[in-house]
Amino acid sequence: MTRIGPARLTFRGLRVVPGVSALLAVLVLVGAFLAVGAPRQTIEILTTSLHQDLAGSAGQLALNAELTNDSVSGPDAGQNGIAPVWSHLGSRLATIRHRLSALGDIVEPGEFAGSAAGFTGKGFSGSGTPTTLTGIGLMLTLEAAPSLHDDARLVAGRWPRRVVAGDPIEVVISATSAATLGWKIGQTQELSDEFGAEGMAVSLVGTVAPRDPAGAFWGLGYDRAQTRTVTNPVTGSITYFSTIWVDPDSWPTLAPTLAGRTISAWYGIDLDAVTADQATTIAAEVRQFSANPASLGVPGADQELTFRSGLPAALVGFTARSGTSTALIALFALGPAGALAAVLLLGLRLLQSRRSRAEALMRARGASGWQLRVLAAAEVAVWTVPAAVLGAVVAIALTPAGRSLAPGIVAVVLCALIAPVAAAVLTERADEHTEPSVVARSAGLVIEAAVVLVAALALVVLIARGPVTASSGVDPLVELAPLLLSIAVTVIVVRLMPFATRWLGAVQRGGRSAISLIAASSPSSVRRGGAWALFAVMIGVGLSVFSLTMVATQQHGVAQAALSQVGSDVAVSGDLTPQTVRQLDKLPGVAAHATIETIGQASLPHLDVVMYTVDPAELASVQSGIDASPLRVVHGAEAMVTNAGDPPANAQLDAAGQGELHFHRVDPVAVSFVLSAPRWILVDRSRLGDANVFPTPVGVLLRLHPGADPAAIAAAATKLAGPDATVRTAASAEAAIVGTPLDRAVHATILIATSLAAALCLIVFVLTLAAGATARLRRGAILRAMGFDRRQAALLVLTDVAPTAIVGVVVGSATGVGLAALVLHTIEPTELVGAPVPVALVVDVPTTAIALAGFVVAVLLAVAVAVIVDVARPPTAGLQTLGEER
Amino acid sequence: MTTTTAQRNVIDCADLVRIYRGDGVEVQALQGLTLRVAEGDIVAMVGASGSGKSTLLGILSGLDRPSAGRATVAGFDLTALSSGRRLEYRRNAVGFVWQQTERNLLPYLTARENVELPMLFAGRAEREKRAGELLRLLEVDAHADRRPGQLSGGEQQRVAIAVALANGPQVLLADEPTGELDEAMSAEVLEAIRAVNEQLGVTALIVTHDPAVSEHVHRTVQIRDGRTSTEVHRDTDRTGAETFTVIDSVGRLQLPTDYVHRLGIRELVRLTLEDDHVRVQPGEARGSEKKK
Repeated sequence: MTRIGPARLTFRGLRVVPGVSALLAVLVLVGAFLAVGAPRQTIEILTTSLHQDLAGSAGQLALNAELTNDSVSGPDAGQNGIAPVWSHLGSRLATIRHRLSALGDIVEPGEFAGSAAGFTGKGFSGSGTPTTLTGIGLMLTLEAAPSLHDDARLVAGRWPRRVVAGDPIEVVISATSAATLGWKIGQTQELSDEFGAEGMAVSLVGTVAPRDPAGAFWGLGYDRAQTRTVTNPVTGSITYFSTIWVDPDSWPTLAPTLAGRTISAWYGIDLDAVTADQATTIAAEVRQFSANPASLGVPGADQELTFRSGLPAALVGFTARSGTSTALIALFALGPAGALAAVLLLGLRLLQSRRSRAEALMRARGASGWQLRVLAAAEVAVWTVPAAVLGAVVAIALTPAGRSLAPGIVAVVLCALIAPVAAAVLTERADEHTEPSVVARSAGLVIEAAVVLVAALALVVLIARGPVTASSGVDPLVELAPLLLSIAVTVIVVRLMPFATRWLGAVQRGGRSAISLIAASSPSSVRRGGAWALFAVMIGVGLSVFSLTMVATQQHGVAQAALSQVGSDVAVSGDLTPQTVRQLDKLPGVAAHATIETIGQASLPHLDVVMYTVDPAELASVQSGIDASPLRVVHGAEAMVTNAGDPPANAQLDAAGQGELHFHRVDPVAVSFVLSAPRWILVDRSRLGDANVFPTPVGVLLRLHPGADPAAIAAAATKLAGPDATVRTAASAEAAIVGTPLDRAVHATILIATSLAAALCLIVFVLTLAAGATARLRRGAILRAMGFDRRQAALLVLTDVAPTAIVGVVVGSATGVGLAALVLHTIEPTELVGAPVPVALVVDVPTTAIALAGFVVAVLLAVAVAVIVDVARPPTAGLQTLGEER
Repeated sequence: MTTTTAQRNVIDCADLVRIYRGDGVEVQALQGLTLRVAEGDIVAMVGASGSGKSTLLGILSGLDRPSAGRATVAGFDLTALSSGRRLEYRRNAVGFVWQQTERNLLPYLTARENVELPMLFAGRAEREKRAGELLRLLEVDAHADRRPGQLSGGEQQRVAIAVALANGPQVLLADEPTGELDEAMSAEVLEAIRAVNEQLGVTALIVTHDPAVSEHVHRTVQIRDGRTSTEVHRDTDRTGAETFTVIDSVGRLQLPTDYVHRLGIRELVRLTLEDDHVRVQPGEARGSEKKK
């Protein structure tokens, strides 16, 4: 004997429409996977980019403070002043670190070191070391670091012992430096400071190596890990700089005898623990910490410790640079999110329509609205909750560990509950079999009007606002505008469709075809969900065209930016001879060249500039591939371009001596690197006339034949121009802009998002066909009873959906291009293509046409499936359904 | 059971109007219908397709609301039911049986579970016991653990009657309960309704276009053009029958169609007021006769 209860009723109810329920589960699974996985993966990609940005900058990023108190660093500081600080500093740093507890393990334990720089030595003879040669100097920094044992490992020898008066001071040095300097363990040398104080004997007792070469300890001292060489530009002499370490406990007694001593304290940053999602928080915390100095807390030697770090600036800079990529990822991800929501809603409507008979029965048997809603929600939840959890688990398993799970939990809860809640709401709408009130009938119209109004406002605001930087993060208005505008356009088109259908119907009735006559006369129920189908096609096509257009635009913009930064396909910069220039021009594959020459310096008001000249015709020939090169203004009346200050519109140049010349100022980022001077002007060579100038080639821009290999020509150019010349290609510059992990992520997002959106929209289309199946079946049954054959029935279905598909593809395409133009209008070109070049909207016609053809084929396939299913069912099945409408 | 004036009316409808609006077209499904059914009575309502039978049943079941008029069932004023009262009405005051099985029984529940379902929604205890009693009363207890698809049409309808009676309603509304059954099964179902009417005292209103139903009930009401027209009352032993017509509050009445046809009545009839009745004769006005 069984007993019915809520749980049994719920599970029995699952048998009603397992197919649609399973579809909902798959949608929720995909949604949860994306909602949980996409942000985690995005953060991971951003973090990887951030780590690439921060790599090698541990020293600059550490929180570093110098002790400037006279009792520690002053000329009269003695042991009594230094010793208390030295013994107290470690514990004090640990206490101060608590103020950074919000950052967790990102901030490493505090360290400190005493140092005295400027000791010179003679080096070692007999070992062949360079420091004994003429013109070679050695400059050592003497340091004491209590944490040296933690930061370095002993390679050879031993650690230094306490300094004993009269004995040589025992020191260690990095093994790399020891090898560079030729200093062997056991060797002693006399050092003297830069003030010429008496000699100090230091004996090398060991060599060390960094435990973590990227750690803050080694980054804070340029010559700690290895010896640094500096060449005097005047004398040509070379000085070797290196650091040696003494026993740290000896510093209080040794330091007073050393000139130029100081104590520094720092907190290293564990860069691996810094994640992109925390960048803004970390920057704010560190800034706040830096803005509030801590007290040293040593009586008599107290001072404020102000820790400074390059970390906030680096993080803010990264956030600004990555802002556009993040915004684009979010923008493209929103498309499938909208499509997913549409499919989910339509699936729920289909489920609700399939459950409606059972619901009506239960309502008649005394089920309250709440009971029905809870039951509907429970039946959906049985599918969607496990699906959401599974999707989240898979996402977490496939994306990197270590990220916070909190956002994922929120996402999975939302994914799990959105479908049951929607199911409950849809059930509520069908609670009464009474006619909808005027308010209820008007509600839909009011919502549609509100959507159109909000979309129009968003459009106006975005156009009026113009481009903004994405450094402040994702702009909700920019992110939501495409979806909002797509929905608004759909609403308008759906409202206009009846007029078009009526007109089409009038045309069709005029025709002789039975199909066109019946299609025009068919009730709207056979096109049930037509608005949804239209929405699906428009959103799918719109997002695809939008994505393809954005990609084409960005690719074109990046190519333009690369061409502008290089100057042409290939550019050679250096001291070139006229013969080299001729040889470069004759390289196979070179179509044209333009020589950039310098004629020395000239004076603008309050500004000295380097003058370059070029033949405008040559320049035009090599820059013909650049849409709007700023250098092309050398044509015509504007004879000069410059990146220098704000010169008067008409200035007279001494060097040119050709009367008044017009200036056009350009952004230095967008012109060829060959124009390398900090301040320059580029003059039309013909304007120099007979001026007494002697042009010297400093660079050549090469335009290549189509199909020529830029890398091969760059290699040949390097060979001709010599090792000191710089050769760059536009292709390599383009690769540098687009080859970042973030850029790859953006393109991957576009590909996945577009494919997903298109697939989801096709599912919507199929679902709408399924929703109208019963009505089609009834009509088909009557028509087949009257003599319609299967071919005519199939053509009739095609005629039903053709207006929707055609309007969807045409309006969707136009909407996609329009949205791309709008988004382009809202993004700074520099953030999109890496340089301040004008970015034109580019529609990739062939690719777009292929994508649209794919859509049309998919729609036709969906229709074909619907036709096959319809035709396969016997006419009697349709006739049986006729009695259902009472 | 026969209707007596002492018995109160469980169903009391007066001047009911129901107008449907859609696509700019108005359809007046009920045009001032009046119907009274006494407690414990069993009544059949017959009429052609489109006469307003199902509309009336929709209103009586609480699933639809009248556009005008008065409708009271088991003390519930159906024109002014709050959402909560409407639910209480559906749960406890009336039970329904429809023509199609899928409107009566959930296909994924067994017969017993279907009977328990209304009690589950109403939060009643001892559901199994009550379900067992009803299934036994309707002689389908042997099939209690079968699903509707495993039952014959007659068995399905008897289970449906059990479901309708689960919460002990005062009124049983049946919409074409025998529409999909053969003659033998129809008789079984109608007898089952009559049995519960007699044994449980449930007032039953059966809407049908099946003339055979009249033989199983005390009173048959004809509905035409959205109004009740004539009534046939049968004796308790169902051997004799007497035909009545309904007269509304302003004195309008409809003559049975076969009377009209048989007597060749057109446009006008001659009325003669006798001491205790009104005589209705075919005839034409004197003016008309003169013209001829």
